[in-house]
Amino acid sequence: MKLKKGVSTIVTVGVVVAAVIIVAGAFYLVPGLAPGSNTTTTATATATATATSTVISTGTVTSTVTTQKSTAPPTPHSMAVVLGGDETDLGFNYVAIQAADLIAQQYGWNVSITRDVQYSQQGSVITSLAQSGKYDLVWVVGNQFIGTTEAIANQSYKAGLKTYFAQTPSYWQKLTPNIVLLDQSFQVTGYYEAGVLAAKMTQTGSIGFIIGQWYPSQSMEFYAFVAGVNATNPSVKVYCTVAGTWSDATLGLQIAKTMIQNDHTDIIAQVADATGRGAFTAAQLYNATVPGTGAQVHVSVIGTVADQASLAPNNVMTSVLMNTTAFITAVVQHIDAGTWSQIGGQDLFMNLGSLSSYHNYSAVSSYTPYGIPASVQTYVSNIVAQVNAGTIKVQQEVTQNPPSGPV
Amino acid sequence: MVDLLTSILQASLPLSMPILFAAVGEVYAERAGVLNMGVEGIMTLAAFVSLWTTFLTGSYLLGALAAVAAGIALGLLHSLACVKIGVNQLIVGLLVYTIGGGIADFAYRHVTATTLPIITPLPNLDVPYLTGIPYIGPMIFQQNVLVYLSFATAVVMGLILYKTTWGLKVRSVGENPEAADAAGINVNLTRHLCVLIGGALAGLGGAAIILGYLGLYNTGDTVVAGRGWIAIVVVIFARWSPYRAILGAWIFGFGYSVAATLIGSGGGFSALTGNPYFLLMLPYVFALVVILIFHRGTKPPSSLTVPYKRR
Repeated sequence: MKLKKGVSTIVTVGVVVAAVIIVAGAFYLVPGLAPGSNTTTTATATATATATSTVISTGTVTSTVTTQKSTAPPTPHSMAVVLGGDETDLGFNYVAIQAADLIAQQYGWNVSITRDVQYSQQGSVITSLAQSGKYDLVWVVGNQFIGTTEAIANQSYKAGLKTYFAQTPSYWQKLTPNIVLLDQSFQVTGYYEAGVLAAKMTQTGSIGFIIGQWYPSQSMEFYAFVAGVNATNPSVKVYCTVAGTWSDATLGLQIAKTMIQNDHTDIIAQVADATGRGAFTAAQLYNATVPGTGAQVHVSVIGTVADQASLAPNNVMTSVLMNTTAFITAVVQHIDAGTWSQIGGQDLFMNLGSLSSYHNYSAVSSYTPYGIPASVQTYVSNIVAQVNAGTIKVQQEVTQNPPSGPV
Repeated sequence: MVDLLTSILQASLPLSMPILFAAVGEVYAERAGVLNMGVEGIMTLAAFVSLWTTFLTGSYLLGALAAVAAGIALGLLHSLACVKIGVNQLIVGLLVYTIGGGIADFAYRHVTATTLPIITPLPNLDVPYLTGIPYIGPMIFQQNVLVYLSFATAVVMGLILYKTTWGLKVRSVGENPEAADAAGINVNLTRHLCVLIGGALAGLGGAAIILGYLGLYNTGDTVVAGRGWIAIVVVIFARWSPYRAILGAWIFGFGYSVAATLIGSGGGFSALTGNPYFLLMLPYVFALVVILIFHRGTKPPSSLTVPYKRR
């Protein structure tokens, strides 16, 4: 009897384990679910530090760097990329992976990408990569890593490690020579241009702007957008909503719906990661009402960081792109040329923001009555040229709190 | 102000829909004596499966059925481990949560390498004549089919639990499995079935978020976003009754709707309350207040989390 029970238990456990393996493995075997090509290798997000824990001055990093000097990297030109998410975000992580792929292809670097690094693990993961001795550069992407990367770079520098660091974006000060930052103002010009376009295209005179949380970079982006709107049509109102979270798409949908129905916003810009995804659905489901006439108009969304047109092809007017490749290419070129000292220890101000293709908004037709007229496209192009030439200077405005009403 | 209130009340129903599905399923599992902490993971996996299936086939029904199947599969994992083997239910539930979310994100990353699955959520249905009732009509009778299905499911499952012989068996298994066994009821089979029902309904809850509301998926538990955990709280608030789960789910849905609508209404309300973080607390504050008011008489099934082995 006991033997029978034992065998039964073993069989049951085996079935359960096999089921899990089969379900997971099916995604490699079933056509249509096979993984796409990827030229980079991927390390797991569970890398642990080899050093013991010690509190460092930032207070959030709980691992330390040993004083033992590492040997020179066995393979030259290697980069480790640290991400808080993965490419499915069609945002920061997506453009970083695109840039990393390009570095691997065009510059022959070995690139290793660590995805989905949790907040609690970031210290140990970055330290582990730095201490491994395998990488010339550790590139960390995401606001959540600000402070941690700089602290680890500081410790690495004091320990005499040869690894360089890059943090995208950041605002940290008092940097050691082994780290370079991309300043958080990287999309200001792009949002100015988006504001110009939105002001030209709105039919209700109301534009929405959804933000995950109010950080300095988001403040700059919002006020740059408002500056573009005011420079084009001062009568247009911009409603700013701070969701309070980056990770609730359902909340984002309800917020966008409220803005469309209550504020009559017919264009919504969003810098809200997953929360912002709800805005794309809301734009597809609801029309805005023109005050006074009661006419129903199409709602458009402005994407952020990457080209997000695929999320709602008939509702994404444009996206404010972030040319991350330009930043990391500059860093890589300096390392290759041995001129790191020209950028080390600096917070680089680079205008990486620009407008994406208009896709389904490229022309006004019977199929796309919401398209952007040629005259507006020409107008925006002129503005873009002036911004690039420096004729139009976009201010970087940072406030402690978001505006309490429409701007 | 009336329009704002109408908007809040109208949005509260679809926001409560996934919680209600999952809570009713979890009522059955817990009434039979099995706690399933993996509801969030089941909903997440089902959300992805429903999206992918609907995207491939164009059929919302197939998407919902696929989500139910995914829920049953993870429910089977849970029941085999807890009911058959007797592993700690809390631990298995947390594993199911991790496995469900992990498989969903893993699969989504692979499918998006070649295509981005996006669907249009189910449209609202206008109930003839009733939609025309001022204020209440648009609020209640202009919802998508899954909202109506969630409430119907709660009522039907309540009738089964309280008015049928099998429902009596479920309750007796959860209260006194030894006596139920002595009465000739197959305790573990009943528990297996109830956990599978729980998984199926949690799967339907996950599908409801996609098919009935969002139309897209995102990794990192940003789609279900904690509603599975809320469903477990609702079960306790509802005192393990499918009928009261309707109220519990609606309270949370209402709280979410208040928070989201006030945040979306712009600076006026946010300025009044300080910041959006305060508003985001509202669903949980509502639930806490209700639980404090109605906490008397809250008694879980006697053999909840206790494995049964026939002596």
